[in-house]
Amino acid sequence: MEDSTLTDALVFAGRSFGSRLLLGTGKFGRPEQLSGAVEESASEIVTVAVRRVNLEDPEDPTLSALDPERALILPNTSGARDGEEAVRIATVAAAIVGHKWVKLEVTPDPDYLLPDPIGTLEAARILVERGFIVLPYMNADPVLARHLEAAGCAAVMPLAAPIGTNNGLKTIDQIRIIIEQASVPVVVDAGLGAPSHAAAAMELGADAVLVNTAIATAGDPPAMARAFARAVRAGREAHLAGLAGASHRASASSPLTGFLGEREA
Amino acid sequence: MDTQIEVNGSQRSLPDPPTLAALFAELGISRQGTAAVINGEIVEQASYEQTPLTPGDSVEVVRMVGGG
Repeated sequence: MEDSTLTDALVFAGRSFGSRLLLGTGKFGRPEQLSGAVEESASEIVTVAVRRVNLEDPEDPTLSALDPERALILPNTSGARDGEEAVRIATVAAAIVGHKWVKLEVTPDPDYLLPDPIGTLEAARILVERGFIVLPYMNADPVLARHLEAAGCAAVMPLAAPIGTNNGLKTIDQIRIIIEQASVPVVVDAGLGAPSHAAAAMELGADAVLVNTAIATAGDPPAMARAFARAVRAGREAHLAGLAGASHRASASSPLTGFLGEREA
Repeated sequence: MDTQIEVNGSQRSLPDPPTLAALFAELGISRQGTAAVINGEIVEQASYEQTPLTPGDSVEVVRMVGGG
């Protein structure tokens, strides 16, 4: 049987990716858990953050497993509290990774890490103008999604629930509208806590999902990465197959005629 | 005389000649996978040898870390 997912590529800014699972690299306990998760997830996009080098311990092996030949290393602007900081972080990140793809995050609120829509939009406009390929983390606001798309973003990345909460698709109704209206890929980011959540997002028609905490803090991160990868594929295949409709009343799956012991009328 | 500069928020002194390349050597930091920002300006890796540091400069050395 032909595997439709092999020909069903995810395309950002003209570049094709074979996997619809983006993997975040934070919170992994050991480097081998991360390398195992990268392997098992088959992700072709992995996110990283940019931070100061620890001068007391400058060699950090955590990310040594990342291979830019196998997966695009997508820096985020986490830590930015306003648009200006995000632009600065994106610029420094580009100097490190040698390309201008960036996951834009502007999160002034430390308790919920909810993205600032105004700062995000302002930064997106500046970064697009400067030639960046911008994938913005955003609240699940369909109107904002349209503004970000109009600003030239290569995708929109609405949150399912606040970062790291594992609470699942809390914003499903808004995400449904974003998917309906967007003409750039929709990546459901943040809050997906279980493979079933990821599958649900993909069934809904999301183009991809980004998962970090649910994999990194699982009992067995590589095994959980594999489970997410399968769920994402299953959800995508279900979406492409066209889900059957739901109804309130029962509808028999077996014939309602020819019962045993039935008498001719 | 040593040059007093700020690196990632803490004070450091650097022997002559005070260049960015000398700072990286002094701190034992690889250029691979890092970037340097002096007083808010990113410095191209190829020009670290020719980039002097002057007293009071604020240098930030950053790298990729795990993140979502």
